Amino acid sequence: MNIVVCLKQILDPEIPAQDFRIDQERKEPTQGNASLVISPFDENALEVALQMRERAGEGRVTAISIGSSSGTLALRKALAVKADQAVHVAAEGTINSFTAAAILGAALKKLEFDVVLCGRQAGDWDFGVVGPLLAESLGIPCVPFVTEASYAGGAIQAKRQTLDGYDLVKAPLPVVLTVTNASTNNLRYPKVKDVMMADRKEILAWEAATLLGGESPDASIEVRDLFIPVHKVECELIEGDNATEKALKLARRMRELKLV
Amino acid sequence: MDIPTREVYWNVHAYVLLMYAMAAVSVGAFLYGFYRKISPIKIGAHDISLDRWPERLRGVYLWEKRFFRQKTAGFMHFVMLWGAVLLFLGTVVVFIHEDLRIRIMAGSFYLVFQSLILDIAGFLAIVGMIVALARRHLFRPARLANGTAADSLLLVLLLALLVTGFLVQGVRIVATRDLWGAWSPVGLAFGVGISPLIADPGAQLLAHKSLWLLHAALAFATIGIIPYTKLGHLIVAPVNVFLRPLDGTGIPRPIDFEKEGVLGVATISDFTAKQLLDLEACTACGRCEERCPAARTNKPLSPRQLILDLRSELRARRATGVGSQKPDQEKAEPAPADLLVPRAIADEAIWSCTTCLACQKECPAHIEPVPKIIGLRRYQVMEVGEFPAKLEEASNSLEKRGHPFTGISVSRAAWMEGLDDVDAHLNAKEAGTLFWVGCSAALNERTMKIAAAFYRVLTAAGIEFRILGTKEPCCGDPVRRIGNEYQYASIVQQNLDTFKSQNITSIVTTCPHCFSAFKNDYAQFGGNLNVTHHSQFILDLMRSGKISLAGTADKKLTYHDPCYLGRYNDVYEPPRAVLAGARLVEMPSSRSSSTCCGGGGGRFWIDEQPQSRVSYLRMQEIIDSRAEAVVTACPFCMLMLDEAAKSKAKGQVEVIDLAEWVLQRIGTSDAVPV
Ligand code: SF4
Ligand code: SF4
Repeated sequence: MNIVVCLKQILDPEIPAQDFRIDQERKEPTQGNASLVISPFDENALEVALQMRERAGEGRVTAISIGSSSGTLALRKALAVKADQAVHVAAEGTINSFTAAAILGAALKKLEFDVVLCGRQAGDWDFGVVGPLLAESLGIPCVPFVTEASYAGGAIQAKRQTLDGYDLVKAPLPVVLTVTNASTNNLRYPKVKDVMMADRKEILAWEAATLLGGESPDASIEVRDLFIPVHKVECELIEGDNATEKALKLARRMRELKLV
Repeated sequence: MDIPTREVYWNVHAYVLLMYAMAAVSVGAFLYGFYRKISPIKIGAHDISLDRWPERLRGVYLWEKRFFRQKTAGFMHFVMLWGAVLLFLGTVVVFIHEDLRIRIMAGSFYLVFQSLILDIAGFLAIVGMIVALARRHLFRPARLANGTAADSLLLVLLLALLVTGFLVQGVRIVATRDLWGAWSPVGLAFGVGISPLIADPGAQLLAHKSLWLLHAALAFATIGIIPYTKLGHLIVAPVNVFLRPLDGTGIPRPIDFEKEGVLGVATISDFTAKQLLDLEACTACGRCEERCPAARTNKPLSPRQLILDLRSELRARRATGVGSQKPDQEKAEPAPADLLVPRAIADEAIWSCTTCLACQKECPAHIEPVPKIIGLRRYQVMEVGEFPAKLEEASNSLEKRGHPFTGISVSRAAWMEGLDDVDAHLNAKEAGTLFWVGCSAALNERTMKIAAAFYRVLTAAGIEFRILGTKEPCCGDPVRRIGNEYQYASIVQQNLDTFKSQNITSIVTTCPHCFSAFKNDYAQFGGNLNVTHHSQFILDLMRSGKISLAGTADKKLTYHDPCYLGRYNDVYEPPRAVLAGARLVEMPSSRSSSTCCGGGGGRFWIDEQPQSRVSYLRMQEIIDSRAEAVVTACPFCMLMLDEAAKSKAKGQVEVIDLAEWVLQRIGTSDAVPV
C-alpha cells in the first residue's frame, strides 16, 4: 500500500498577536522572527499515515511538500518519524488552494499511490479545499474529517468525525482522506536516532513548472485585501462611594448611551 | 610503683588460638561480602575518579555536618561512628602491643587513651544505640516507619557487643583488683555491679572466661556480617562520600552521540560504576524522602524507594549473573525484559521529580538520585519517544519557536516597552555584560516586570550593558532536565557560537535556571562564561556604592530560596544581604533545606491537581511564617508562587522579585509597592 501525505509548511500559528504583521504589497503575513512549522492538521495526517502503515504491517509513506526551499524542514521532520520517502516540489510565487491542488495532482501522477492524506485545512488560510479539489482532479473519492483509518481487504476503512459522533466509512482505493485532529492522532515524538538518520536521507527535488509542463495553473481566486481586525474597546470606569450609587450612575450612563 | 598497663589475654590465654580462628573466618566473610557487594558495579561504565584526593578526604571529614542536619539522628550517628572508630583503634593498639610485641599499651597512654577515652567512647556509643532503638520503637519519625526487624536486631547485637565488653572488663578489674581500674569508670561500674553475683574467685574466673568468649564471638560475628547487613553502610557510605563527584552536584553528564550505543539509561548496566556504588551506599534512612517535594505531595516518587528499587535490580542481576559482560563494545539493543521503566521504576515516578536537589543535599551518603532520574528520562525521551504530552509540547515549542511555552500572547519585545534607551542597549555591541532575560521572564505578563525592574536597576546604577531583545533564544535548561539531551546539545552549541561571534563573555541574569545552565552545564560543552545572578550583581552595586537603598521596611518579608540558585550554586547569602534592611523572617525550610516551588525539572508544564501542588505546600510554609510578602529571585518561582498566593493564600501574601524590591528602594519607579 502506498500512502502519500501532503504537508504544508506555514508560519507558526502561535505568533503573539503583537508580532503579527501583514505585507500589504503581497497580501501575505510577513515572517518576522516567526518560524515555519508543519500545518497542525497535516501533522495529524502524517500520524494517521504512519498508523495505517503500522496496522497493515506493510506499505510506504511518502511525504510531499510544495514551496520554497525552506519547505524541507517539514520533510525532515516527516523522515524523522519514519516516512519512507520525501518529495519537495519547488514552486515560485503565491500558491493558493487551487494552484496547490493542481501541483499536487501533477506530482501524484509521478508517484504510485493508494491513499492520499491531507490535513482538513491549512493552519494559515483555513480554506480547507485542497483535499476535495485534489480528489476531483484525480477523479477519485474523498472522505473528509477522518481521525483514524486502516486498510482492509483492498479497501479503506475510516473513522469520520461528525457533529455528534463518527461514521465508519469504507472506501475503495485510490482515495483522498482529509484528516482532523483527535486524541489518537497527535504526531509522535521522533526518536533521536531517527532524527539523526533523517538528516542524512535524500529528499527528492522536483520543480512545479516541469511537473505542470510549462502551464501555469488557474488560481481561480484572488485575495483583494488582507488586514488585521481591530477590536476597539473603550472602557469607562463608573465612580461611586457605594454599590447603590455606582449602580444608579451606571444605569444613567447606559441610558445616555442609548444602550438600554 | 608499677607502670600502668594490663595483661592482655589474662585468664584466656588458652583461647587465643580459637580467637584467631574466629578472626580469620570473620575477616574472610567480611572481605568476600564486600567483594560480592561491590564487584557488580563494574557492569557500569567506569567513572570512578580519585583525583583531587585531599579535597575528597576533607569531604569525608566534613561529612559529619550532614549527620547533624537532623539533631537526634546526628548525635546518634556521631557517637556510634566515633565509638566504633575509637574502639577499633583500641584493638589495633592491643594488636601492636601483643602481636607485634611493640609495648605501647603502657603508662599514661594506657590510662588516658586505652582506658579512659575508650571507656567513655563505649559508653556514649551505648547511649547512641539506646537512642537509636528508642527512635525505632518509641518516638518513631515517619521516615523510619518501614524499618525492619532486622534493623532493630542489629542494634541489639551491637548493644550486646558493647555491654559484654564492659562486663569482661569489669570482671577483670574486680578479679585482678586492678590498681588502675578507676581509669575505666564505666567498666569498673559494670564490674562492681555484677560482683555480688560472682563473689568467689572461681566464679569470677569462669564468668570472665565465658563473657570473654561471648564478647569475642559477638565481635567477630559483627565484623563478618557487616557487608551482608545494613551495617555495610559503615564502609560503603564513607567510600561513596570520598568518591563523590566534586563539581556540579546533580548536573547530568553530556552524551557523546557519535559513540554512545543506548541513549540514556535503559537497563541497570547503563548507569556508571559510581552511580551503581551509590545504590549500595544507601542506608534507607529516608532523609531524602522526608524533604522530597514530590513525596511530600503524595506523588508516586520517593528518592529512597527509587534508590532501593534500583539496588534490588542490581542485586538481582548479581544473583543471575546477567549483564556481567563489560559494556566496552558497542552496546546492543537492551533486552525488553531488562528495561527499568516501567517494570522496576514507575513511569510517573521519573516524571514527578522537580530536580530540586533536596534529596541530594540531605543524603548523608552523598547519593545522587537526580542524575539517575534524568538518565531514565533520557531513554524514555530519546529512544522510546514517549513522555508526558505537556513536556512534548514544551520540547516541540522550543524547537519551533525558541521558547518552551505554548499559547502565550506576549511578544519577546513586550518587556522592553516604556524603558529608556532600549535601542542603545540593543545595539551596544561593545558593552561587556549581557543582561540575559530568559524565556520565563520575557514571556509572561507578571514576570516581564522582573526583567523591566532589573533593567531599571542597571540603568539607575549607570551600568553599561547590552540586551539581545527579540533575538534572545532559550538557554535550553527545560529540555536538558526533561532528558532531551540531543536537543539540548544543539541549543548549547548555537548559543555558544552566538556568544563567541558577538564577543559575549560576561552575563547577568534574573533567572537561576539560565544562570546555573551557563555556569555549570555550558562549561561541560566548553563554555567559559563569567555568569552572575542578579542577586549577586545587585549586592555588588550596593557594596560599590553605585546604588543605595532608602525607604522604610514596612512589610514583614520572607525569602524563598530558588533551588537552582541555592542548592545548585550555593548562592544563599547575597539575596539576604540585599534584603538586609528589610524585616525578614526566615522559614524553617530555608537555604539548603528550602522547599521547591514545584516548577523545576519540567514540572512547570505539567498540570497538577490543587491538592497535590508543590507550590501550595510551599505557600503554606510561607503563610505559616506570617510574612506579608515573599521575596524570591527566580521567574519560575514567581509564577508558581504567584498562582499559589492567589488561590491558596487568597491574596494574603504578595510575591515579589528581589529586583522589584530593590527598584522601589532606589526610588526610580512606580512598580509593585511593598
Ligand atoms: S530532586 Fe527533589 S523532587 Fe526530585 S527526587 Fe530529589 S527531592 Fe524529590
Ligand atoms: S538515598 Fe541517602 S537520604 Fe535517601 S534513604 Fe538512601 S541514604 Fe538515606
